[in-house]
Amino acid sequence: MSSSAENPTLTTEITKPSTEIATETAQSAKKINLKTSDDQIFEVEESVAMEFATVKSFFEDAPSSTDTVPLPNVPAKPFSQVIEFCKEQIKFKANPDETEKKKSNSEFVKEKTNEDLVEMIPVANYLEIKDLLDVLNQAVADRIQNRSVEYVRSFFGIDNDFTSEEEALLREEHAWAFEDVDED
Amino acid sequence: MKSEVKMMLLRPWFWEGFQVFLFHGSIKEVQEIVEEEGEEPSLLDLPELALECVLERLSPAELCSMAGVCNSLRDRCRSHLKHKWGRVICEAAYKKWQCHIASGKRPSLLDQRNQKVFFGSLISMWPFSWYKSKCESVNKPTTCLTVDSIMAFYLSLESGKFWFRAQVYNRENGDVGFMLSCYDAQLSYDSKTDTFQARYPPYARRSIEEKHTLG
Repeated sequence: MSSSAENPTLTTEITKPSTEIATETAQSAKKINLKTSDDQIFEVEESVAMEFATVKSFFEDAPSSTDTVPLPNVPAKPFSQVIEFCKEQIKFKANPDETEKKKSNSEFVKEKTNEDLVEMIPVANYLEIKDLLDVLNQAVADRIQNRSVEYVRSFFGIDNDFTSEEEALLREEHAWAFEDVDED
Repeated sequence: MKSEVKMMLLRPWFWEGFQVFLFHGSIKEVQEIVEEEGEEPSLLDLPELALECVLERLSPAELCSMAGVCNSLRDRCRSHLKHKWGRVICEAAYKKWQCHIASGKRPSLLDQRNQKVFFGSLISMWPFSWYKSKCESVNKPTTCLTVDSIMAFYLSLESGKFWFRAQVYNRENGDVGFMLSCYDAQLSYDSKTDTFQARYPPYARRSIEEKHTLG
């Protein structure tokens, strides 16, 4: 575990994406460059990068590789949020406190939009970050909870492809499920 | 009496057959539409496993509600029910359900009065109460479920209104040590506690609350 992970100023700096590879990275073996699908390069501490099982196995397969790791399925925007999450997780690894961890996790998802959540899930899935996936899946489920179908459609970009007859039938079948939903 | 219960879990193949005639969704079309729209991230674009994980966390009522969002989700929600109940529900339970449907279809609630004479003897025998409970479960006495829908089946199971046959294994700790007993029983599910109630025919009307968590 890198000691610098506990240094907040340093960790803030490295979340910022840079379009060029900073020259100083060569001096520090503890940082890894990760290139997103939209060609942004993130300089991430090794301890954070090792939270990504996909990246970890990349280095295990090719330990001598010092090049930038391409992440072809990962766009920059959700990736920066994923890094934010993993940095928090690392703190709890060194200092396990389930209550604080839960609190931190719920804070994390609370401020995210539905769009953020849905964009982060494939990234967490691709990078195989199990904890984050659990948190995100639960968050999406919580947001669907007790909502109308119209809400679910509009907030999660789903088209209504039922014919009006099918929809009427569904409504009749599940009349109880359409009652008492929260206001959109 | 507290004891652990294991249930005889049953042939999944019936679900396959069951699904065949219930599945008429067209997932491909849905995906094409979503891809064309492009811009907005969609729940349906999520990796298969992730979407499954989200659905897993929804309550039964939520699953039924989500089935009303679009065809693709309807199919997914249905396959979830299959996942939850497919291993529990046996051929006998399905046949019993079919009986319910068949008996329910003959006299509908509306023309029941006219057919009363014709079905006189039948009606006295058959689960009249079932009709009632069916309506109660939707909290709307005026609309009844479409009885042959898989969701209606699911709802009956989830609400505990539908009793189905199963074999119940009891593991008991007696004086002689560990004992395993097996009974034929009628089960109904209690979604609040995620347990089953078992009714054993030899000890008529004796109900024992048993713990069994659906995996």
